[in-house]
Amino acid sequence: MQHIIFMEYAFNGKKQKLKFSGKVRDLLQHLQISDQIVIVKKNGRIITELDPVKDSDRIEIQRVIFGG
Amino acid sequence: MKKDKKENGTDTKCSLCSSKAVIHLAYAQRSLCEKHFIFNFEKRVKRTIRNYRLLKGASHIGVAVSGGKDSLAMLYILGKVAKPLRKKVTAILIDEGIKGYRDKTIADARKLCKELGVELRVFSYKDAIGISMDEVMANKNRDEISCTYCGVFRRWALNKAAKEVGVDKLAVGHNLDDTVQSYFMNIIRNEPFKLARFTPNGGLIDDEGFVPRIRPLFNIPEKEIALYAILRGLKVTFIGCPYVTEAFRPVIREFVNDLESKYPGSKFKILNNYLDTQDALEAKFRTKLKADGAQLNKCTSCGEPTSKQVCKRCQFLTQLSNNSTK
Repeated sequence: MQHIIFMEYAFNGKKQKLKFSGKVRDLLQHLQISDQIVIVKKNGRIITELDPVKDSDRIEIQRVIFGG
Repeated sequence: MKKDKKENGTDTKCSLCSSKAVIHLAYAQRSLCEKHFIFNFEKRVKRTIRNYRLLKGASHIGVAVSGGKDSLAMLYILGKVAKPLRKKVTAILIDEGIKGYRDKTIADARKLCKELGVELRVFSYKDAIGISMDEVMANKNRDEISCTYCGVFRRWALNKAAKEVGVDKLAVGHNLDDTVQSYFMNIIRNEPFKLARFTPNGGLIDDEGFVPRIRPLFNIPEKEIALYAILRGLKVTFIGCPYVTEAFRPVIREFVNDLESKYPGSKFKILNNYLDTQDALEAKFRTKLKADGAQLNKCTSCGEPTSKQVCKRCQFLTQLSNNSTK
């Protein structure tokens, strides 16, 4: 079952809204963010790339890998 | 191997218990909860330390910390491993002098060292070398990219600091991603000599002027180190070096990460391929060094070991000094 969502997500603290349907992995692909460099939280809890995101979920995408 | 306990539309469960998973390890086709991930992570690091005998012969271990996730996670684990073995641990931090970047991570390092009861020794480029990275970057006629200067200065400063502190071995936080990136970079630059020395427990040149380096995290994916640091509650500021954008490594990093996303397990396969050939490479270059009669000299300027008459650190300082007066 897929969810049509209109969720609030934040990437590195910058908040945005997005209509999206699918898993975290698909969300990252849609946003063109490598799954290798971020950790994703849903409503404050760390989740995996296989987890689904639902309507009204608060998604936080934290970049954890930089250079240097 | 158990299948992921996952139902369509629900959150992923741990492959080993029914708890909520915090990571999916695509290369291993399993997901792990917080408890099992931490256990698995520490088990892998301890196995590396044991299999490669990284702490053998060392009563005082230096841990090179930048205050970033890799070095703080390494310090946390080494602190746990070293305590029952009655080995002393000292954290060594090199402050490159990059305002708005290193000062933040130094605060994180201080906090963890205080919590662990580990002594932290801080050495700055400005004091040890005479110039900060901010000053290097402000030098209008510098000939190299930032990472070239910083890499040379950091190696020099770390080794000198490790000798001053009196450690037997120096642990550095290189991870799987660093190893694989360096592998590709050395191939593209055709530098097989450098490739031969990227092992968990040392390098090609044994000299009393160099403190032996160990890499306990060399086969741990970088993202997993970040997750471990977060789950362990380590205070880590996730921030990038402001000068790194011009370097070659980010291009390779993106390529390798893209490869791993499309073909999970690629990083481990590349590492294993490297380890299979590393012995032959090391033997070849050790033989070559011996045949060439290669020996280390003491830099005529600073006295540190070098294969030339003047070490790269001193060459760079001369170059920057000349340039700044142009």
